[in-house]
Parts: sequence; structure tokens; C-alpha cells
Amino acid sequence: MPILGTVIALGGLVVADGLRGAAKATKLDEQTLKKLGKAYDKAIEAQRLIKEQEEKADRSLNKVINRKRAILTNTIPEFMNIYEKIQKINFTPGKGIKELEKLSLPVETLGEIKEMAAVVHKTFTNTELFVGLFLLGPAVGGGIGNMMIKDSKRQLAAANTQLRVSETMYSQAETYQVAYDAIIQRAEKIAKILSKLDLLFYRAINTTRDLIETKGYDIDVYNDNELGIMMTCVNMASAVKQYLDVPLLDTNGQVTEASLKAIETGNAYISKIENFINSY
Amino acid sequence: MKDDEIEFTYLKSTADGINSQKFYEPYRQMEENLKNLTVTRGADKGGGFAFEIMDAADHSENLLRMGIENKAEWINNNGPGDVIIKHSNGKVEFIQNKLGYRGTSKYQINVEKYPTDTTFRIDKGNEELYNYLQKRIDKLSEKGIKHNMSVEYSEVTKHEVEIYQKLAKNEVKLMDKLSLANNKKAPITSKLYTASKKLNVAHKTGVSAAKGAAALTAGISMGKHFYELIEGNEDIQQAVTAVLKDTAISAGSAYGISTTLSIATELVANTPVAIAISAKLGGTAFVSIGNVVASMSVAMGPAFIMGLAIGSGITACKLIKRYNELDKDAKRYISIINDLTEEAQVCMELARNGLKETIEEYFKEWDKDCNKGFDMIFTSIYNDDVEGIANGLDLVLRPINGKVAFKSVDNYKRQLTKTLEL
Repeated sequence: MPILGTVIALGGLVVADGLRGAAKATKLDEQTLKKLGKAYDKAIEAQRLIKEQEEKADRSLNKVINRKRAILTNTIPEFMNIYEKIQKINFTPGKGIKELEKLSLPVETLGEIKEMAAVVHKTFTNTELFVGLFLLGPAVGGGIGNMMIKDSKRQLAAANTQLRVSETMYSQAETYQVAYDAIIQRAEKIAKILSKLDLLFYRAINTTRDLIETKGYDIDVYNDNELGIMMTCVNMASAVKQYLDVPLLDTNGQVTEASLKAIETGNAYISKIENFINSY
Repeated sequence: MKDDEIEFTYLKSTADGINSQKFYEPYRQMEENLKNLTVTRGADKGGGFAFEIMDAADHSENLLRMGIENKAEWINNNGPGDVIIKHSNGKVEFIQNKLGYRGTSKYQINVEKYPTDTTFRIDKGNEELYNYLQKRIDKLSEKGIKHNMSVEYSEVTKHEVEIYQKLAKNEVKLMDKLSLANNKKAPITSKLYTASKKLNVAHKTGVSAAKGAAALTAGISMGKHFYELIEGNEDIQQAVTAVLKDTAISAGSAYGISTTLSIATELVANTPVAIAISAKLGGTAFVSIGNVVASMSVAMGPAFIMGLAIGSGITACKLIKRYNELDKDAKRYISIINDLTEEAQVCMELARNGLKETIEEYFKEWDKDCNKGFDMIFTSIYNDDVEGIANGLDLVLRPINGKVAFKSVDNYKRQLTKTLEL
């Protein structure tokens, strides 16, 4: 049953309704602005979080690069120089060494997080305006005042939803943070191990040098203990070389796989939300 | 009725730019003065008085914009000035408004009879009168008469006043026709005009039509009757009657009888989209058709609009049903996003926790192997145990799926004649 507007020639009633509506709507709009502010702050924070981790990861990876280069420039040549006279060496650079030549940071590792989609409040269609303003009376939710409030409520609802979307983006940023943390941890460990091994290697080289200076290059005259020293030096060289060969990023590793999977889970949801927002 | 046939615009009159508020004050006063002005007053049937009132408001607004708080007050008597301004230094400036006075009628103005502090304000663009008055003022100086007289253009044009007058008279005519008391005054027209001036104030202060969260746009296509009226081809009375006849709601005919309709054309300049309902305007809606602005009292709205709607076969019931559907739709949109975000956050947290566990486990094993390996190496170095060193290295290499080269001296010895592959 249509209820025709009660706003007949009672200008005063219309004024009162409009003023009431405007006053309440204004309050709602203030809340809306605050919520939107929070939402956008959160989205920016998410971006910042990832950027920060990316930079930390770069620093850690840089550490590894520098360590590797130092070893390749100093310790390895020294070993080669001394040991080559004992046994022929075939040094084949692995992936982790080859990539040092053309590596540039930052390394594209985990992909970028998307921009947050904007939740737009549904503005009144022409039909809603017509019905709300002209057909329904204030007592049943129509009239200028109520339409203003309704519009403001829709905007507040959209703002609340925007905040939820931004929280979702932030959650994804936290996943990125964990994934980057794994990269950082791995890099730190490799750098530390290389450092320790290099020290041991260097000692072994010195011991080997001393031995050769004493016994000469004819390995046949060496006893088992002395061969043990040579073996240790070679073992050290091999261990260091294996760590040098480890690529900076473990693209096929278990942790990388798990990281990418977790990120993909988040991205799939974010895309779904974005597509829904944009298609409506 | 298709959606795109309905266009309607309204702007919330909230703060509406706090800055605009003080500039509205002269127009509030103007509205009061115009409302109480008898439409047929004066030799030219009220046009001159209307001009005085309108100009006073404009002038006051300009003074305010220049930082001068003194306003131009309309004096409703036959005194030396139509409008006076009391300056803060005690000086009183008299304003004489002159509208039109073209041709021989300008000779009726004798500048000598006015106070020497008189400023003549004339309708905008009235060069003929401007030149005439300036000449007369110059003559005073030539005669040695001390004075501060001057002539200025108002912002108000004759055309604007004429339109206002026409509408005001139409309002009175319509009220008479509908047997409503009016005392020959036109309160609705005064309200409309004031609204249009306020819109201009808002524009000047930088408030655009789209400002504020509540700016919604649409426009209403008025239908044949009103368009013809706006074009000046049909009398208002006939138009109203014709519309009422179209209205299918018999109960709604009460609306038609008890309300009036005002049309204001070309009062709002430069508005690409009309700006409408402000509660302070008593719910008057401006509706646009291209550049022409028409207004109608919202009170009149239901009957008139329903007439159009029903004329096109849409019932109120259908429209209200659709309204409810659209409202649900809007709510559903938000609700779906909320559900998605909730689900997303739960799943993302699960995935993240799973990842953390994997990472923790992985590096735990790494640390275990490496720590044990190095311990073994250092102990073996101390004990001169080369095989112990080899085993230690083996553990250190385990996290990267590596292996020590030689676990025993025998193995090492056996390959000495070959090339060492590193």
C-alpha cells in the first residue's frame, strides 16, 4: 500500500525534518571520515611493512654476496695456488657463484602486494530518490531528513567495510613479513656459516702450506697423518665451495614453497574481494 | 518510467562551508524584506523597491568580502536614501537606487536634491543612466558645490528584477485563482530568489555543487507541460490545472489544491546542475532541465510527480517495492564484502601460522645440524681427529644437501691421481 508523503503544504514540517536529518547525517559523516582515515592509514602501514622487510632482506642478501666475493677473491685462489701443485683441480662455479656476476638488488622475490580496492557506497538510484523523497513519508523512513540519514548510514557502512578491507591487506602484509623473515634468516645463517668455514679453511691452508714447505710436492712420501692434513684442507675447500654454490634465493626449497603458497592464499582472497567491489 | 528520465539533485545544507554562513546574512534579510513587499507597490508596480532590496543585499555581501562589517540597510520609507550604510567612523552613506530610467525618464532624476554623500547605484550595464548621472555629478563640482557623490553599478540587472517581478505577480495571480489569501505578497518567490543568491554565495566561497558527502545527482524530466511553461508558452495556472488533471490519485488532489507552484527561470546562473534541497529553504527543490532551472515546492511533489509516474504506467506500489529491493541490494553489497574479508582474514592467519611453523621447524633442524657439526669440528681439531673433522663438515653441509668430500684418508688417497673436482 503506497503511503503518500505527508509533506503537504506544511513548510515547517519539511524544514524540521530536513534540519533533523542534516544534523544526524552530519554526525554520521564525521564518523565516516574517521573510519576512512583509519582504513587508509592501515593500508599505507601494510605497504610500509612490506617495504621495510624487503629492505632488511636486501641488506642480508648483500651480506652474503660480500662474503662470497671475499672468499672467491682471497681464500679460494690461495688454496688453488698451494694445492694445485699437489693435485690437479677442476673448479666449476655453481649457480650461487655464477649469479654473483649479474645479480642486482633488490631481488624480485615474493611479488608486490596489491593496492587496496576502494569500497564505494551505493548512491541512491533515481528510483530510490523518487520514492524516498516523494512517496514515502518521514514516519516510514521517507522524506528529506531520512534520506539524508540513510545516505550517511550507507557511507558509514562503506567506511566500516573499507576498514575491514584494509585489515585484510594488513594481514597479507604480515604474511609477507614472515616470508621475508625466512629469506633473511637463511641469508644470515649462510653468511655466518661461510664466515666460520672460511676461518677454518684459512687455518687449514696455512697448515697445508707449512707441510708442503717441509715435505715438498711429492705426495707419495707423506704419511697418513700428513695426508690427513691435506685431506682436511681439501674437505674445507669443498665445504666452502658447496656453500658458495648455494643460490641466494632458494626458489625450489621447502620454505620458499610454503611462503609462496601462503602469499598466494592471501592474494587469491584479495583478488576476489577486489573483483567483487569493482564488478558491483 | 526509466531511471534516466528522472533527474533530481540535492545537496545537504550542513555546514555548507562555515565560511559561507556570514555571507548569507544579507540575503536572509533580503528574503524578509521581499516577502513583505506588496507586489504592486510603487509606480512601476514594485520593481524599484525590489531592486533596492536586492541591491542592498548584494552590496552588503561585497562589503563583507572586503572585510567591512557595516551592512547596507534598506530603509522602507520615502526618506533621503533608499539604503543607508552607517560606517564605523560615524559617517552615514546614503544610497539611491535607480532602476532603468532610460530615455527621457532619466531626466526626472535631479541629483541636487539628494544629500551630498549620496551614492547612486544603478542596474548593472545601464550605461545610458550611468553616463547621465556622472555628467550631472560633474556639473555639481563645476558649480563649486562640495560633495561626495558618485555613481556605481549594482550587480543586479534590470532583467533579474523583471523576472522576479513577473514571478511574484504570477504567484499572487495563482493564489488568487486558487482562492488563497496572499495580501498581494509573494513569499515563495522571495524564498526562491534568496535560494538562488545563496547558491551564488556558496559558489563564490568555493563550495561546489558536488561538495559534501550528500551531493546526489539526478534530474527530473518535467514533462510536456512544464517545459512549455518554461519556454513561456503557457500560463502557470493552466499548467497547474493540466497537471492536476493528469493526477490519478484522487486523494492526492488535496495536495494540488492546498499548495502553490513557483517557477523561477534563469535565476540561478552558471549552475550546470541545479542545487536543491536545503532544509533552511523550507524544502524547496530545484530541478534542472539542461540550463533551465525550475523549482517546485516539495510539498507539491507527490501529487505532481505521481501524475507523471502514473501517466507512464508505473504505480506507487511497484516503485516502493523496487525501492525496497534496491535498499536490500545496497546492504547485501556491503554484507558480502564483510563476509569475504572475515573469511580472508581467518584463512590468511591459518596460512601464516602454518608458514611460521614450517620455517621454525626448518631452521631448527638447520641450527641443530650446524651447531653439532661445528662442535664436532672444533673438538676433532683439538683431538687431531681428521675423520671427526670430516664428519663435522658433513653435518654442516646437510642443510644445503651437501656432503663432505672425503670421509677417510683412504678415500682421499685413492683419488690423488685424478683431477679434484670442486
